[in-house]
Amino acid sequence: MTSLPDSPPRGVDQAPASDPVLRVERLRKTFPVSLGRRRTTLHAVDEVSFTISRGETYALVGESGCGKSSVARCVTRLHEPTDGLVEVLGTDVTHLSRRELRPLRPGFQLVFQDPFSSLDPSHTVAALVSEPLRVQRRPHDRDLVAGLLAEVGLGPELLKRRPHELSGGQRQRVVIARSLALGPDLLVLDEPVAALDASVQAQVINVLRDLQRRRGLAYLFISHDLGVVANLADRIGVMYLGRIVEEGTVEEVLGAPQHPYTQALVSAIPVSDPAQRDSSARIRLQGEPPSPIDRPTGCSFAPRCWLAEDRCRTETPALVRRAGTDHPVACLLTGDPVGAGRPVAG
Amino acid sequence: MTSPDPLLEITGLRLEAGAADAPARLVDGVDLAVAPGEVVGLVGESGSGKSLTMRSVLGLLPSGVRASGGRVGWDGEDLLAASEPRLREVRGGEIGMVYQDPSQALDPLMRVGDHIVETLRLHDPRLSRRAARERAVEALAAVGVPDPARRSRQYPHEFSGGMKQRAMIAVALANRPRLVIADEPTTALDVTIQAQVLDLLRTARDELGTAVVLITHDLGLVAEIADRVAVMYAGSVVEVGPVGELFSDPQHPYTRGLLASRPHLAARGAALPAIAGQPPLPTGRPPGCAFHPRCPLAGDLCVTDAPLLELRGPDHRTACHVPAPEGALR
Repeated sequence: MTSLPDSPPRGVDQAPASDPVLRVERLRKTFPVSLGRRRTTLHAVDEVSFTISRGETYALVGESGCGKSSVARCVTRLHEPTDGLVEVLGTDVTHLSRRELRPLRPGFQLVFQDPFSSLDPSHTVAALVSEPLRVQRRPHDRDLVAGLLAEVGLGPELLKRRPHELSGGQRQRVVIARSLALGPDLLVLDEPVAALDASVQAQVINVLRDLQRRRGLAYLFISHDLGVVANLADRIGVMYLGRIVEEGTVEEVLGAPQHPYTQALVSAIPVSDPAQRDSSARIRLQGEPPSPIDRPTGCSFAPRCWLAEDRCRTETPALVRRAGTDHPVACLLTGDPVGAGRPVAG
Repeated sequence: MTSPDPLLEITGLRLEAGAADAPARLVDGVDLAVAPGEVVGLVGESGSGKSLTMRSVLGLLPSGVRASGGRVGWDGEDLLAASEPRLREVRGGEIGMVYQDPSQALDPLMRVGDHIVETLRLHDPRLSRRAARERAVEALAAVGVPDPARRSRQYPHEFSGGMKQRAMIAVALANRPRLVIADEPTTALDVTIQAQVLDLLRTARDELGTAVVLITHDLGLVAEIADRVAVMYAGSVVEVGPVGELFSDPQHPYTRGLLASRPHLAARGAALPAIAGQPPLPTGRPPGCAFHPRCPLAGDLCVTDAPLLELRGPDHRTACHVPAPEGALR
């Protein structure tokens, strides 16, 4: 076992995985950039693979610039992947044209962080929520739209309101109601609660959880907030500079993080109780992530890693299960690879 | 208020906007005291008045917002009544400012080091440009900017987000202020960078004795760094107390709701006990206790009468009509 497996071993043994809603294999997304006269390549996403089953939440976490939002944009095909595979409900959508995508659009929807910019301020809530139905030339009436609002906990009295008359939490619920209009199987949620006030954030998290249970939705959940992720997600992929460096269940990744970067992320979460302030030894990362334009050779995290050895700077670690772990970790120091990359339990 | 000899003592602060006969009360009778070297977390949601309260300290209220009552005591002086030249002395001198967005403090056309040179010489005109430059490099080094001599000659756009935040903190600390007002200083930052910035504020407090008012919506930051916490809701302080007590024995239903609804590692997969409803807009605040429409404990009195901050424990006050739970001091 020297590199990532060619065949997709992941998901094979998974209970509901005969029917993954989303399958991403060795996804790559690069952007050409010019720095003065120099033309070079930005590696936004590199060799990212994961699957999401019905009713499951897979969270991609990491800091700004790690590529998590680029993955979301490739999956929803706002970007065309450079390489690799994106399969939604068994259909390869990696390189489909806009026209070819249109009939598949109802199946997967993207919800952005900022509910204000994604709602046309001149439209009523009724028009906003029914918009996807009109675009797809599907029947829609007041009851249907009111029903969608009810699913996100909003009353029919909001139908005639416009976005500026709504609070931030109400706006984000309208966005979610609209994304439900066409009966999707997959929602791609990019920081859906990051812009919300604390007292409202919990409401929207609860709405998302209820919807998932009721409709069996699969979520690709993009977030930098590990508290939110811990509450909603089943599995987590931790990204650093375009690659997933650790993947597993919430318990595995947040409960017993193996990759030094994940350990630093978990360690940097503010304590929830001032009494614990000094009780745990904190890992303090120095510096900031290097640019995805000038990625270091070997392990991307090595320049900030307090454990890095010489080989870390030359050898790129594969994301596989290793001797010392029960889940895939891309770190040479965690141990030698075991088996062929374990199918991750859902 | 409670601390002996507070450095900053805001009492009965009222800020309003709009027509004089029917103003919107943005801040409605806020009391807040900060002792020397103390870190106070000022917590609240957007529109709660937390940022406006602290901007009034610096004479930086947005146009259209005016102080209609109260006092901002600063070492015996009332800053609400201070002249603009006096306020310029205070800003960046005795009181430093750190913002969420460094572009509010860093001029894109000015070298990073010159920001520090300028603030140093503004407050000490006898300081030579050359000596100020040296101190600017030291200040950047002190906040962990690598290669500070070279970096001081760069422009803000050549700095990464985390480095800009450090540079802004260096500007804020340049004149060894007695108080730093930090308004959501880490909200735009990644969690690992956020931890670095908190360390800088902690160091300023420990080594320079600087008091800090940390304006934030994030209770995690407060748990991490604050000595005392004031919780604001709809223009008023609803609870204030030592950080340990406020987290272990919160008295106001809003504070309890905020603490309970935080998503955290232990509450996996469970429904979060969310506070119902939405925070009111400053123009549509309910009568009585502004929290009553969302409060599970609200009674008749809460609908008609606004509660006052009352002592519930040593140095722990809350504004709530509902009697304290068993065991709380009255």
